[in-house]
Amino acid sequence: MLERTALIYDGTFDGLLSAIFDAYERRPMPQDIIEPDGQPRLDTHYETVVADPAKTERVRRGIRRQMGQEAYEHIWKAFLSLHPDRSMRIYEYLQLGFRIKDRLVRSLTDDRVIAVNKLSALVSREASHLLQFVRFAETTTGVYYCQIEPTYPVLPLLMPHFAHRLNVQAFVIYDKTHAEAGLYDGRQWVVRQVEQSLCPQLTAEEKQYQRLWKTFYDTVAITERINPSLRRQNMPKKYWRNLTELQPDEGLLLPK
Amino acid sequence: MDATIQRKLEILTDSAKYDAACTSSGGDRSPVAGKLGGTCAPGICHSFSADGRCISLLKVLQSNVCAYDCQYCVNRRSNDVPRASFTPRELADLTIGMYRRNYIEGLFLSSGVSGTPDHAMEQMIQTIRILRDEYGFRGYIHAKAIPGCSREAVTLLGQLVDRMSVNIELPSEQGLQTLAPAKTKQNILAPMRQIRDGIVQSKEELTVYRHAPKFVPAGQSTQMIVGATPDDDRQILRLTEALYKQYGLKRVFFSAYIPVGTHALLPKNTPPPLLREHRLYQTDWLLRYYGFSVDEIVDDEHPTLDPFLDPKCAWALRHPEIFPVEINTADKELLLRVPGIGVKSALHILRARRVGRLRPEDLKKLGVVVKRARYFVTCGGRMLPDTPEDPTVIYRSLAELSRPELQKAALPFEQLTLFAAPNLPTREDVIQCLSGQL
Ligand code: SF4
Repeated sequence: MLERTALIYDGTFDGLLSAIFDAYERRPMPQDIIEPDGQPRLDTHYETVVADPAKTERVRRGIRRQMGQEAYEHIWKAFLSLHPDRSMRIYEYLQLGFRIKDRLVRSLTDDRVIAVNKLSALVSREASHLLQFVRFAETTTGVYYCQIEPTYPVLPLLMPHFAHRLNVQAFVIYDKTHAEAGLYDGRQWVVRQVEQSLCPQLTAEEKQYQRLWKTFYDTVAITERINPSLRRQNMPKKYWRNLTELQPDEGLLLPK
Repeated sequence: MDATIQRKLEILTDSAKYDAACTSSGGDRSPVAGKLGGTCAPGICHSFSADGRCISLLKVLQSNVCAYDCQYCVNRRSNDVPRASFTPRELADLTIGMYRRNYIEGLFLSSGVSGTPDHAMEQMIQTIRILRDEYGFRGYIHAKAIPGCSREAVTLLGQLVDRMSVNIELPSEQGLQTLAPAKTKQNILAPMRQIRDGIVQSKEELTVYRHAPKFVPAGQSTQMIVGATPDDDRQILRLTEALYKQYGLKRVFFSAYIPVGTHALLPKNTPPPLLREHRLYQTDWLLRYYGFSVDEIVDDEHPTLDPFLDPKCAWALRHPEIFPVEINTADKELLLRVPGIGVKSALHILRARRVGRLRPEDLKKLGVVVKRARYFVTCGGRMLPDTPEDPTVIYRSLAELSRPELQKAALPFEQLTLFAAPNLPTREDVIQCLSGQL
């Protein structure tokens, strides 16, 4: 008889919540919950569980009611970190949470809480960077378009912000790293997998705006205060590739 | 959209860039169906220019034609620079185009005195009217009131914008008289008072009718130039505090003087005093978020801020009677006074304390900068293990700690030698300071 047991779930966030419901029905409780492509261990007996929307909802409600919305957001963002240990960390965090309830989010010195908060902070940070650094371009179809290359799949965190802001204006944010696109038609937004990169046609006015923005950007800096390290600190280099203002003059238009 | 807009943008950005205020914070316009834009209370920086400063708003002048001759300003009448003016339509369209592309949070609009102060204000008001009325724009707008304009103009502008500012620029009346003869203390303070009163009144009305018109909902700010006149830190900070307390300002900005003037009384060819500006901002934080008063930080004996130590460390070293502070029992006000504990880590400490007793190894997890805080705290009644006891060592290590941070921000710490500091305490001073705690 093997020492450890673990559940394998489908790798989605809802699937994880559902698997946690299953975990609580097993005696003894499994030590681990892993994704389909997780690293199997020799000393462990694995059981694959199938996601059930009813179980997902019960767990979701339970978390919100017993630990609060803040805890729920932490695990959701931690999940978006794609960290190899995300499922395990969330599982341990929630076990603690179901025991100590709303004291969970105050237990800031507990290693299980710290582990989840750390992942969640990485994702929050990336999302807030992109709220700053998304640059839309006007396409000939009238839809605004932007390409990003984030480390984490943060589109679900970006879409509500831009949908509110641009309001009736339709737009697309294409996440090249994760081959996903956030689509907004002026009323509702969705996030979809996309097979290949989108190649929108840009308007003539677009080119002028990109020039204007670059002119502003270059002019507003004060020569006597030039400070490359401060700029890098505030605007990490990984974002520069998709920033209009940091393209050489001739490369202003986004990829054809 | 053509080449002339490009050129105008260049000229009018160049003329506006010395204003330090570029924040979009304090806004409260939530999105409305069918209308473009909204604001986000903490503000959003959309880019960072080569000097590392945040770009949040399209910061331009409506016009850099100016009838005045303020000596510290690039736009002064006697300065030979290219001049240009945006028409209200041009500038409004430009703002919308940039906003839709997520380049900016909105517009920061100011102007030279093109003709009369009221004429300059009228052009600005027209621009903002197009934005608000025609485009239904709900993004952030910060406008400067031109000193010497009429009360009516201030009222009109205040109802359209999120934030307004009147720049004090020179911290003393004497400075104004010599360097900005067309401005008086009176015509700077009068619009500031009017804005203050307007904000108070509109807040009262809003409690009565939900739809009462808002007036400058994101509050009022101002800017002072540092290093153009001989005013010391104490004068600047006392004025700052008075502005927060008596004028209800949201923010006071400091701008290290860049030598753009030729007047005999202005410094020439000097590097901008960036480290001083940095220390002033640190002190400003202590005033706004940490419950400090100016007299605690600078006084007749210490009229300038210590360049080697951040103002909180400097204060803590002068107040041995308060330390060490016990992490497990100190109240929030006291925790905030400990170097190495910030607003966030203080909250974390309070939060975590409700679940259990804190041990020394927990401090780091809660975001406390232990290498700084260790000299000032006990945890469970004891100082942290291996905390140095020699007072000179403590002063030195605290000063050394700020070196890499300042270097990272490219602030000129290296230009100072630790022994040339004006108010570096003597060894005896330090011993006296610290003996209470050791
Ligand atoms: S009035 Fe304003 S723009 Fe004109 S010179 Fe004085 S500071 Fe400069």
